[in-house]
Amino acid sequence: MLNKTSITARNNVTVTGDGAKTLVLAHGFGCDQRVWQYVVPALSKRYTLVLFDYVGSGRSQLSAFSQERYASLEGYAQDVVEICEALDLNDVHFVGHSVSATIGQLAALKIPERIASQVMICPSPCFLNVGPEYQGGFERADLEELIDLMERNYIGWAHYLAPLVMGTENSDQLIGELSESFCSTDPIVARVFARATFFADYRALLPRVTHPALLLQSQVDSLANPAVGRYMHARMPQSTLQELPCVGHCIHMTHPDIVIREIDAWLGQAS
Amino acid sequence: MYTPSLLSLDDFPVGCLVTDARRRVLYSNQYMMEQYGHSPAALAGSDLFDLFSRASQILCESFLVPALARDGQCEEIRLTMRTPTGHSLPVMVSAVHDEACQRCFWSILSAHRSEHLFQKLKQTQQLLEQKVTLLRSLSHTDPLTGLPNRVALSKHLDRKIDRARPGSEGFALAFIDLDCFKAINDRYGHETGDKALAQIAMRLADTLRKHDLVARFGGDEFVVVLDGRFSRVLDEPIWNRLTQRLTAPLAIDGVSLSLSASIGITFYPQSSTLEPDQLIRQADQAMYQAKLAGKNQVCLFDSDDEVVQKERHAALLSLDEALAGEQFRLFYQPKVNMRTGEVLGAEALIRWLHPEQGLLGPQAFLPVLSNTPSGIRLGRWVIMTALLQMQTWREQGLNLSVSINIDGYHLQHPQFLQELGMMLADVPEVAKANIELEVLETSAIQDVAQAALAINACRALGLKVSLDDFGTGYSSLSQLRDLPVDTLKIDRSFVQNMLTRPGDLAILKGVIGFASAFECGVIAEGVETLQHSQKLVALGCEAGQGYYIARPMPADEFPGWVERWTQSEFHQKYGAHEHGI
Repeated sequence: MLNKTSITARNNVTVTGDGAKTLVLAHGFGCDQRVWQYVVPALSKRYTLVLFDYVGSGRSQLSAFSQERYASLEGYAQDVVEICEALDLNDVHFVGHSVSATIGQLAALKIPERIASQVMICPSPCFLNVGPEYQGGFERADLEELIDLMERNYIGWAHYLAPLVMGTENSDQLIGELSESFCSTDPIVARVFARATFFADYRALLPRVTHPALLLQSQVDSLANPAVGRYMHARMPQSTLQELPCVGHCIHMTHPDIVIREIDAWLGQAS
Repeated sequence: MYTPSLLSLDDFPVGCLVTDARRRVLYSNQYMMEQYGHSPAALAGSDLFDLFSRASQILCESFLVPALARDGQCEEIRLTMRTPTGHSLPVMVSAVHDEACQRCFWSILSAHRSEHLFQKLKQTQQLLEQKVTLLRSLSHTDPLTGLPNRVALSKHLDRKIDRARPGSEGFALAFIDLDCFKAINDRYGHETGDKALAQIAMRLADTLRKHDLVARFGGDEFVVVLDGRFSRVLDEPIWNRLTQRLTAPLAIDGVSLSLSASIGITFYPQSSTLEPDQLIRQADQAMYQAKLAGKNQVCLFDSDDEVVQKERHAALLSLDEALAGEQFRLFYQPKVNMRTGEVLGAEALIRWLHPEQGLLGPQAFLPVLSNTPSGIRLGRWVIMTALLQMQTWREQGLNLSVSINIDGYHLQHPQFLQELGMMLADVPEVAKANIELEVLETSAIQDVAQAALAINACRALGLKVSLDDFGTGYSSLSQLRDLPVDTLKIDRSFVQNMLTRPGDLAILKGVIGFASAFECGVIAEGVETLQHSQKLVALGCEAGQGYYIARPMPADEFPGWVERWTQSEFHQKYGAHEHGI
């Protein structure tokens, strides 16, 4: 069964800091928990932080990856649910970057009693342009090109040849850590995550999640433009939208001070 | 050496850009204009990421920006650049921050060459994938029939057993061995034989359902694995179907061949846990039973039979230990001339002095030894012990003829003659003519010609040979013709019944007649009464042994018995009647 030890190993769960409030920090596509390194020092002084890598990212156990499970965001949400249950986390403030904001919503629908609120950093419920009423920012062809470009950047290629030569049945021997290089992921895993992230449309979730939510929107963001933030805010019953004077999609890395300030404010504790 | 002030960034064959913290372009060089059509004026103040395709922007946000934030630089990320004319060009982008993170310096190179290499790499990768797939399939395929081979079968079974859960339906495993297939190779050549195997393989594959497995195990052996619950009886229709398909005539190059197969079947799961190899062995054993039972049939593996095998193995082990522990004894039963009283010799009979059960007769342990290495070892011990006893008696002045029992399978053992010669050499003073080999279980002798050679060789050494239990067993008559022996021993069953059953008397008379016709001696065993003796003598068989004359006795009692017999006992038992005293 899935106990604390096995889940901790599977998702490379790190618990740091102490404080009455518990924050679960969830990384987005292409990265792992190290993206939080600029906000962790400050936040850990005031909160208990739970960091983790989704299966297939960072130092998670690759052996736990299943194409079937992780082909949709529900599979990643299940990781979150299992972590919360295995560690018996309650009153969780779920801080999700990009696609993890949506993953957090899916998890919140499964374990509403454990979730207190959500902080969504540069979220987008759908990256595709869908008709005139919604401009996620990308056409399907753009996202196909993304998959192609990922391959041309050899993302995860270090893991490509070995299983081919050794045979898929020996993939257990490749268990364990993914390559140490930053933001590396296994090729298949990365592709599966990319498809789950960029081809999905979870707009229907927005009105269903009733937990309080803070949307942190970057002013210049190629992935989630301000219009997306406004779209979400309009449809989420208990949401607060903050458009921040930031550039880029990884504002917790490029503008950590602003993000820390917003989180503190949201949790009612001035820094 | 130039000083930097003399150089212009416009001279370098690389696109150079500088952006501010909000990634707006502060500077771009001439190369950006010449190569990609982006003029410095048009770029000034614009968002750098707008130069790239939308997909490239995701890569920038997801990989490039985090790397810059973390390491201050990012090397060689492959992106797609858009030109003002709407073209897409592959580019390789590197970037580095200044220390204050206020400015970022970019280099943009053509990625044509790397693109070309990538294409080659992709082709190589695809080729490698194909080859690996091919290799994997070859290593699991039998080249002649195209069926999965033994390795694939083993993996298949591993998987099935691994995935089996309590209550899941299980499977049947059939081991198929074509009958007399060698004859086809011998008669028509291997090419025809191979074609026959290929056709059989196709038939088997056609007979089965899609998820069943048929594998070529080796030579003319196939293994079939059938999913599902089977009634563990022979009349399952599938077994009939298999047999019928295998026996239907084959047409190969104008030659019509008829084949049949012996099939052994076992089932999974069983009461105990099993390895795949064990399952195959079980089916193989059952197949062997089908062969023994006359071929062209199906036998089910009987797990009870396995218990018997285990018991047999344990029994053989204890007999080996008994031999090593010197628990066997030879007893000697006198043979006499029932008319004259002359002591003709003795038959050496084996007994087991069992530490717990006491003295055991041969029926208690000989059957299990039949045709086993342990049986051969015990047979050797019997011969040697008897020969040494003859030597001891000889030293005591008793020159007795001794008959030693030899099992048919021992006689046919390739080393028998050589070993016998060595044993005889150990007792040079024992007269060869006094040594008689009584061949047991002659009906089990399959290769009569070879047995005849062995018997002739023994006779050439000067030994006598007799056939034990003559008259029992269906092949005795032809053996009498083919096996050159000195004496026939009439089985006790005829002797014991001859006074009451005319049929037995007739056979007994016949055996005596045959012996006379083939010019060999005759002796009756099982003489238990005076009447037996009288009748036998009347019929012309004067030599006899049996309880009426004497029971088997330990060797050291034998000289005393001989003395008593010749002094008085013969007269007491026979004298008054036979000689009319």
